[in-house]
Order: sequence, then C-alpha cells, then structure tokens
Amino acid sequence: MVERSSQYQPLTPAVYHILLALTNSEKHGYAIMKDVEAQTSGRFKMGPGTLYGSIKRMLAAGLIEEADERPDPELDDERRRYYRLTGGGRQAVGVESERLAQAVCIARQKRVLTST
Amino acid sequence: MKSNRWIELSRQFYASLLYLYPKEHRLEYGLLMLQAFTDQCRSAYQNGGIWALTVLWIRSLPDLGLNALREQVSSPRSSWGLLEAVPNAPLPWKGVAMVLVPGLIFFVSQIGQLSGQDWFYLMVYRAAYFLIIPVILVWAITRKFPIWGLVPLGLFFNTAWSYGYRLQYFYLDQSNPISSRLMDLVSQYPIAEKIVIIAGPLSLMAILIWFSAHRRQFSPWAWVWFGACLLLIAINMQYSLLVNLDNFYLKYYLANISPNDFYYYSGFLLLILLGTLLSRRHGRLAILLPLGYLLPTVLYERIEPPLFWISVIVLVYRVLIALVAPVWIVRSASDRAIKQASTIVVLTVIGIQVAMDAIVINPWRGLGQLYGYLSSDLISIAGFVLALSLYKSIVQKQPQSNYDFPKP
Repeated sequence: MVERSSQYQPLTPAVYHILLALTNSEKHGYAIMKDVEAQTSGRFKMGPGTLYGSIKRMLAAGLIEEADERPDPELDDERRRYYRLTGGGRQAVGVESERLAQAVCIARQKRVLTST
Repeated sequence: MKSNRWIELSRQFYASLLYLYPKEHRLEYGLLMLQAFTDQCRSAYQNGGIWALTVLWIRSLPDLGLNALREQVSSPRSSWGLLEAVPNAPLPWKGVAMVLVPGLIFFVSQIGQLSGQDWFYLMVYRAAYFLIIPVILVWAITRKFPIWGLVPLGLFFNTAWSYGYRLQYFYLDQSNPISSRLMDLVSQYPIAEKIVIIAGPLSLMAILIWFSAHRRQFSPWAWVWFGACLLLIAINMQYSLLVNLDNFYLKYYLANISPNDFYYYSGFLLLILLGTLLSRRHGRLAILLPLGYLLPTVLYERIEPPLFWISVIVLVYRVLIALVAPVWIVRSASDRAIKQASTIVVLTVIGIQVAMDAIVINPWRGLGQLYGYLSSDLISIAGFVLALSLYKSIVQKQPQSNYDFPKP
C-alpha cells in the first residue's frame, strides 16, 4: 500500500486537502468540504463533483477507506458515508507535505516568499 | 436550518443534472453528492439568502459539468468503443458521438464550400482541425490512440504538412537575416531551392527509417516497396524523363524537378512510416492513417453544373471515408469481414483518387500528362502495399481493457 501511494506524488490540490482534512478524524463529504474551506481560509471551495470524483479515485488508489463506525450515530444521518485515511494515505500526505515544505524553503531562500 | 422553496428547487435541479454522470457513478455517489449540495445550499441561504445561493450555483455548475465530463471519459463502462477493433460488440454511443459531432461540423462547413464561398480555401478553416480535436482529447485522457482517429490524423497530417510547405516556401520572413540570406542563395542557385524543400522531408524520413529498421520492422519486401515508392516519386517529379530518355542528364533533371510534388508524396511516405508506431496497437488497420492523407482537403471547380455534382459526390465520399468507414471496419463481425471491409475502403479511396486525377490532370492531352496521371496513382498503390508490408510485420499489442484509471 505504501509503495502504491508513492506513485501518486505529487498529489493534486483536491486530493492533498482531502487527505489533510481526514488526518485527525473520520469525516463525511460535507464535513470534508467545510474542512478544506477552513484550511485554505475560503480560497479553495470544493464542489460535490470534485469531492466525490477525488474520493472515488482515492478509494481506488487505497489512500482512504470507508469507515464502518460513525462518530455519533444518534446525531447523524445514516445515509452519510464516513471516510478515513489508510496507512498509504497517511504516508502520501506526509511525503507531499515534506515536498511542499521543501519548495517553500527554497522559495524563502530565493526571496520569492514575502510573508513569514 | 429547515428547507425552503429555493433550496428544494435547487435540490431538484441538481438531482436532474446528476444524470450527466455515468450511471455507475450516479448510483454510487449521486445521493451523496446531492446531500452535500443540499447542505451547501442550506449553509449558503442561511448566510446570504438568495444571492449567496445564486453564487453557489455559479460555482457549482462548472464543477458539476467538468467532473461529469471527466467521469464520462474515464468510466470503465463507456470504454469509448472504437478504441480497438472489437467484432460484434454493440456500438457505444460515446464513441460514435465523438466521431459524429465534429463530423457534422465538418460536413456543414463543406456545404458552405458548395454554395460558392471561398473562405474555406484558407488553411485555418480546414476540416482537419475539427476532426482532430476529439481524437487528441481521447488520446490524452485514455493514453490510447482511438482507431476512429486514424483517418482524421491522416487528414490533419496532410493539412499540417501543406502548411509546412507554405511556411517554408512562401512565407520566409525577409526581415530575418538568416531566411533572407537563404532566399538570396535560393534565387542564385535554382537547384538549391529544390534542395531546401527536399532536404527537410528526407531527413525526417531517414530518422523514421532508422527507428523502424532498428526495431526490425522493415522486412525485405518492405524495403522493396519503399524503394519502389521513392523511384516512382523521383520519376513523377520530372515525368518528361521517360518521354525523352536520350536527353537525360542528372543536372538537367535536378534543375527541372518539381519540389512541390516531392513534398506532397514525401508527406505520404512519412505518414506511412509514422503508422508503424500506431500499428503496434491497431495492427494492419493502421492503414487507415495513410488513407486520411489521400482525402481531398478542398473542393475545386465546385460551382459549374457538371463539376458541381462531382463536388457533391466527393463531399459525400469524404464524409463516408472519414466517419463511417472506420466504424464499419472495426465493427465488422469477424477478422475476415474486417479485412474485406478495409480492402473495400482502400480500393474505394484509390479508385476515387484515380477518377479525380483523371478529371484534374486530363491524361488524354498528351504522353506527359498520361505519365503524370499514372505515376501519381502508382505511388498511392505502392504506398499502401508498403504500409501493409510494414504493419503486418509488427507484433500487435493484445487489446486490453480500454480503461486506465487516471491518477488522482
């Protein structure tokens, strides 16, 4: 699984942000969308088409999986599906984050990045 | 927040738009997408009323449209049919639509020619550009060249190749010191002018031959037919050669050759050599590629009564060869039927070309015209035999699933 996930580097922005959204907890589709919006301060608003297209490919690539248990079944709509990271997905988001951090570091060295 | 009329309307409309997705995607994710969109609607309406809902729609429509297109293209069930020759398989509507939609644009633009308009003579309006777009699209997405793209690619190559000639020959920029110097040289030495036109195609041909020979795609018969093609082209470039053999001198020959003819036929040969790359997937059916090169790109003498009807026949023929023939060939019921269908199509193209050349060249005016007429058609025939001998010697890739899962 780990080897399989490494072949998808670099990840698309949608896939990367979905993986980031799932890092801490299992989430359903709309919660992922809200999380991505929050991560990017509203700059990346993902629609259902992009979200479920990406989820479909990520499931096939083994980066995420459907979660059987629900955080609180009493409060939740049973039709919702929850997703969580797999080991491969966790590694993929780590590798991609390091790649981005490295790029940011280079940008700093070259004085491209003005903000801290 | 409770639902209201606007949210309910949006929900219903979004649900109907989900039919743009392939059935299997809709069944798997349709409800989830609708639920997520309804949540978005509620949130938007709560925060900004009808205005925020409108903004959400403006954002959602391209998201839905582009992703529906992507899913349609990458759906394993859609398979684009026509990517491979699959006898007896039902016609998939997407594959057929990909051929027919640009084909209809192509057809309508041709009707414009018949009505006497001459804008079509301009290179930028050529039919090849309409037809090649879906081919490139499917090629880029599936990473497999569709079989129905072979004729359009041949036609496109023909158009691009003629454009190259014009660029090279007519539009050399005089203000550019290099091309200006080149033009000075060319005007001083008439033979150099021919060499400039001939050298480019010859170098490209040499590279492709080296590549094909390196991969052992050139059988002894392929070499024979390639030599025959070159010989026929060389003779065609100066067809008074055979009429006046006693006075033949190489210098005289070079000074009087027609680089235009060489350029045209060298394009045909180059395309045949390029076909070896596609024949790994499509086998002998790669012969559809040089077929596209022989399709006429513009209609001439289209307004006068007898020639008008000939133009109409040419127009219909061109549409049949470019659009219907590939579908017919790949959907034939057996390998034998596929061979029969391709033979009929190739013979039709050669037959029509022979008939059209007879009208344009008028071979009965003299021996020179007769020879020019015969040699041009002999080149086409020799070219097709060369193509067949090249393509049949190549080990074809086994047809696989038409679907490669795109990277996330």
